[in-house]
Amino acid sequence: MINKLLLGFIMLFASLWKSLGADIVQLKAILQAKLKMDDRTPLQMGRPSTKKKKINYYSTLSFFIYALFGLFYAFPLFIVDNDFLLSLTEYYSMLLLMLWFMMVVGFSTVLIDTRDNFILLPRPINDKTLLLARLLHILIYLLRLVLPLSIPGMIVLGFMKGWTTVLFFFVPIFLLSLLVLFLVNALYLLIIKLAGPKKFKDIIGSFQIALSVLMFASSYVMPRMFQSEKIMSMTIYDLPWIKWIPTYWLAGLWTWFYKVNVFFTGTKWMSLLSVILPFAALWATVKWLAPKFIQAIALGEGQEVVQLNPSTITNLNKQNKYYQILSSLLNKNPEAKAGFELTWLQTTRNRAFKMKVYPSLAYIPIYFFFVVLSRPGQNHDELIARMSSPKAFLILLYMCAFALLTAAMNLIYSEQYKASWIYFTPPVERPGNIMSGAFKALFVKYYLPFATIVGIVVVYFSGWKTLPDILIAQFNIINFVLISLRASMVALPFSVKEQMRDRGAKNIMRMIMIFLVIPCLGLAHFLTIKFWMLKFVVYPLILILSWMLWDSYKKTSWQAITQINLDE
Amino acid sequence: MQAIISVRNLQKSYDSKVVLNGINLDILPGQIIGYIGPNGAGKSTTVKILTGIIRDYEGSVEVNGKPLSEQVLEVKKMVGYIPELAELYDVLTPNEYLQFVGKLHHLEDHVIQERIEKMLKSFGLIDYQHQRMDSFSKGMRQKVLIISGLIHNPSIVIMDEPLSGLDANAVIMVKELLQALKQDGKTIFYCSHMMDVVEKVSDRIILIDKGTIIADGSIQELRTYENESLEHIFSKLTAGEDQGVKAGEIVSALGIQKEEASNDQ
Repeated sequence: MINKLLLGFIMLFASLWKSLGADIVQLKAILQAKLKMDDRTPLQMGRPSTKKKKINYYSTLSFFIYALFGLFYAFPLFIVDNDFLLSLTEYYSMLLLMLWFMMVVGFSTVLIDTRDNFILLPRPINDKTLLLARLLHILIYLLRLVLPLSIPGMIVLGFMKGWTTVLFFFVPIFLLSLLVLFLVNALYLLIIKLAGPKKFKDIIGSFQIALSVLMFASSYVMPRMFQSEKIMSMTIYDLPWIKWIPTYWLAGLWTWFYKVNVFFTGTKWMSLLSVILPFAALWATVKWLAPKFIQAIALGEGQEVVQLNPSTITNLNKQNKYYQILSSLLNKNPEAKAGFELTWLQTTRNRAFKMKVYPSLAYIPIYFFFVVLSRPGQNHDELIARMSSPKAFLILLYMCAFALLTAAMNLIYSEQYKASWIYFTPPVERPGNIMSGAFKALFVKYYLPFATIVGIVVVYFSGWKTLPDILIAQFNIINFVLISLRASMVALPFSVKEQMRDRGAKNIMRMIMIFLVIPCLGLAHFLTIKFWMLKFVVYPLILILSWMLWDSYKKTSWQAITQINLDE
Repeated sequence: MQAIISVRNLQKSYDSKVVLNGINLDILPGQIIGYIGPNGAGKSTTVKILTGIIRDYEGSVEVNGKPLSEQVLEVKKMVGYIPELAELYDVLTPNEYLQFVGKLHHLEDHVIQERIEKMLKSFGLIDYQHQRMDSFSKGMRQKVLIISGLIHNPSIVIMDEPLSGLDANAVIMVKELLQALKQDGKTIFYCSHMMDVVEKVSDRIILIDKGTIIADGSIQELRTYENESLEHIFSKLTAGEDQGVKAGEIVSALGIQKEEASNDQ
């Protein structure tokens, strides 16, 4: 629906596209096909539904999700009220950054889709049509992001400055979109020139991970920033360098038009720049950046094998020895070794897995610094007193489980689930052996480093007497994760497609487990600190539970494994 | 001689669709069996049952005297499988992937490494052993899959379109490999659409259609009732119609006569 409207809007300018040399019938057909494919691609920031009938509504669904994001980024508009130009600059800057990241992350796979080379290039389509199809496709995608993201800001402005201001609201937004278009193309071209087409995906993947971490971190940091009096009382005079930033010019354009306070002399000229620059950027994109990018992608096609790179070979060899030593130390069974090594390597290199898990890695330091350590006006003695309390050190110990739990919950899912046929042909006695090796790999990688640091911090603040608590917390965390794994789909590592993520009865059971059983275990540990006699009952119970859960996990049979149809 | 693979009344259905409908087979050791049939005939299902991937079927399968349903692990030790599609965890390097497979077969680390290096060298992939496979061509991945199916030195090798994506030199190499494996006493169960290869390498050809065996014998035996190439025998037995007639229908759908089309060319 939204795609149809946007396409209709774009085709209103058909005569313009025609004058630029495009064949309108072909252009429309290409855009229709591409938008249809977009609609059948899972959401970037959500999870696709398993129900096929919903498959055509990703665009509409994503529209509402992005509108929620937009509400979050509209915060500065109504919170930082002492300087409207500054808050508007902040708003546009965040919007630009967000759009740029989202475009880089979400659109790269569509842009580098080389199927164009097989489907479109052999047809009688001129270069101008191809180029415009590509640019308009990007523009529609950009509009699909920018509209929902900016609607909350528009509503906030309407309330604050009157509804007439809304009329002009989308002009700076449109100019901002053109800037983003330029920045995205510039970044793509830069990466592809520096790294080559084949490494392009990997580098974009790093961006995706950075974006996930950034969004996760900003959701914690931003509300705290707005609690700071220093930030709230800041005006444009505190930041004189801001006048060199294009988003300030855009904000200036808006304030100039509505004759709201203008603080710097020369703002009018800078506002003019805000109009000239995006159109200059558009010209540069159409004339230079986009054709170069298409050319670079086309050149990359056909070079299926990357050239041998001695440095890569050396690195992978070194890594081999390191994880294999760990695997041999921690596993006796060869199947467990295989599970450990596969999990270690996949979790190191699989972009989709890292996308899901790395934000939770960021959670631990963010939580640690912003929630536990940083308190306004807190002195050293107060910090030590607070950190020595059982509540504080238990929270620290247990929050380390977050990354492990996230990793464990994502372990079975993979885009390459079809490769899991390899588990079924060798004489594997019990899949539990492979699973136990995989669990150990996750434990070593996503839990031990944090637990070691936090353990040292806890001992530093609270003394050696906390050592039994630190140890019992480890067992309790193993219990948490194993209970959660037991309550979700039982499958081998990287053997289930993402769309099969269970949302039915088992998922409800998992939630009940997590929200009831797991806090009970934590509470039991907490009570042993309050009533030390309880230690004699709770500690053995936790240890016995750990042993039982681990034994049962290790002995998972083929019958317990969820059968996946690898032909689907 | 006792059959190394013995299949009796093998049946398999997906919901109401019958895929295998009473397959009976006896395969002798050291033979190369060409297992052919049109798309959807039941070839891959047969292969997946023989390799222990599909566990729910009707009928009986014995491998080297061991019932598959009861001693699946023992059977898996004897069987090497090379699938058609190069589905592998491609963020791994060939060395890492083959180490993983070797461990699942309980091989010693040094044995795995020795075999990996020898086989990768034979396939011309030794220089790529520490490169991630996500940059590999289809043929390179297929070679890694072939090695993964042979790494535990199985006595039975089941291949499903093993030549898919391989270049001409690799195809010749695999054909030679088939002969070498046969001389080593291994049994090869070879599924393919490439009739010329099947015709050349197979001791015995089994033709399956709609879940039933419709022809079984050596290429000479098959020619006794149709003195033509295997491709033509296959077409006549499975399509039931002259493919030339179908080609004519396609051409006429474009509004031209077949003769005109030939003249144009």
